[in-house]
Amino acid sequence: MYEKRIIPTLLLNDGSLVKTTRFKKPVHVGDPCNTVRIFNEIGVDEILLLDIGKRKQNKMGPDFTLLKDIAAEAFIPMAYGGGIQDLNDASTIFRIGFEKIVLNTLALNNPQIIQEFSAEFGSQAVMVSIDYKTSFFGHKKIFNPYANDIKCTLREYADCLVEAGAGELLITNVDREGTWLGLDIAEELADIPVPVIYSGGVKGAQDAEMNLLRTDVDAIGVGNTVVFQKRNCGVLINFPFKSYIHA
Amino acid sequence: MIAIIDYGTGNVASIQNMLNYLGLDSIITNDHTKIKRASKIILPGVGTFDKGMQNLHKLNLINILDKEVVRYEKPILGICLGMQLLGHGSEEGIEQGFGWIDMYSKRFSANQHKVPHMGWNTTYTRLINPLIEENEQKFYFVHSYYAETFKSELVFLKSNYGIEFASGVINRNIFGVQFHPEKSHKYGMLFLSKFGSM
Repeated sequence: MYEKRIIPTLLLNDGSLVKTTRFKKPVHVGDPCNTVRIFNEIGVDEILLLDIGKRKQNKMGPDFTLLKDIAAEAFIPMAYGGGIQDLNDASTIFRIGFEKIVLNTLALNNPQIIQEFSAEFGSQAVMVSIDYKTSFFGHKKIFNPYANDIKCTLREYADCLVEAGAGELLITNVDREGTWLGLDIAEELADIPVPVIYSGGVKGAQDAEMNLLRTDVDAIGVGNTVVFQKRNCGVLINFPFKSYIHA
Repeated sequence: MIAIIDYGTGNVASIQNMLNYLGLDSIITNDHTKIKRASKIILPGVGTFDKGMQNLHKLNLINILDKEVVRYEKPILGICLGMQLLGHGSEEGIEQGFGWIDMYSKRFSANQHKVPHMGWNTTYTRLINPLIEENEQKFYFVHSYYAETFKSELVFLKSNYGIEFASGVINRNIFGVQFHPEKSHKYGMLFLSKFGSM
């Protein structure tokens, strides 16, 4: 039987792992290699690694040396995003042991560029991350401080990405990220024909599993729940969800 | 020594990581001499069908692989795209595959399930084979195309994703799997250790 996924989403910042709240206030949670090794031992179904550090702003590209060490710790699927500028960067990421790349700013500035990546590596290897905030009037607005002026709606952008060959979308509600307020599902993306991972605000096992019952939710990204013991408590690498590996 | 074929489209490092963990010697290579000396071959693959075949052509690997696999009957394991390349061709492109296994790759129709098929799924064992004893096993899949064959004697593993498809094919010394054993944790370890000790 095909199983839906709950994916630890880990944030890299200058070589260490952090956890943010609403994309701000990074809190140190540990060494990335060690953390990935623990998740591998626990037996999670997949890992998503995103570099949110200064490398990205300075256009330094991915930290391949570190990524290689991290990839060697995991015998489970891994995706990486952060600072990927071109096909060469992506190619290196795949060579060192990641299955998927995650694009954000690059795609937002030029959605057509997705075609180049999916033609080269296949759409199954190309994930696009979309972050959004909800306006005072309840409209979902794409959020990315590094991208050019954004005019399209969430749905228009998602359609455009799928058309261009994106194989999977990672949808994050910035207002919920790191808040334990519960997951928010963007109704306007209900019939998107590629797998959609929702993240931002997952409270715990019940919240995740209830949302996975929905047909429009293929996977859920989790952060706080897998790096903290519980709300307002210290760091504890754990996985309070069902994993398919052990089911 | 297992030769992991390096032809520019592949998650070669993760395969070697798992083989290292299992204590199996391997080398990532496209060097003809090294491929000849290896006792087994793994053909990995992430990418598109045409790109994969074109890269193999560029590196002059088609003839040498054909010789090692068909004439010398060296065991070969194709993984994901590497499995699809063992067949005649694919809807994804216009290039011809190796043609060692009588199959052709088709795209999943998006009617019932989302495409790509991405995530953990179950394989059901249909033939006695050297790689999987269990009737059911779990593996990680990432693919938009699946290999279609009308010869049930070639299909040793089946899975369901909207339709039933061949997740493992076999023809004498030639094996292909649609999933990624190198990313399938303990189940993948068991599988690759069987291939390593064949």
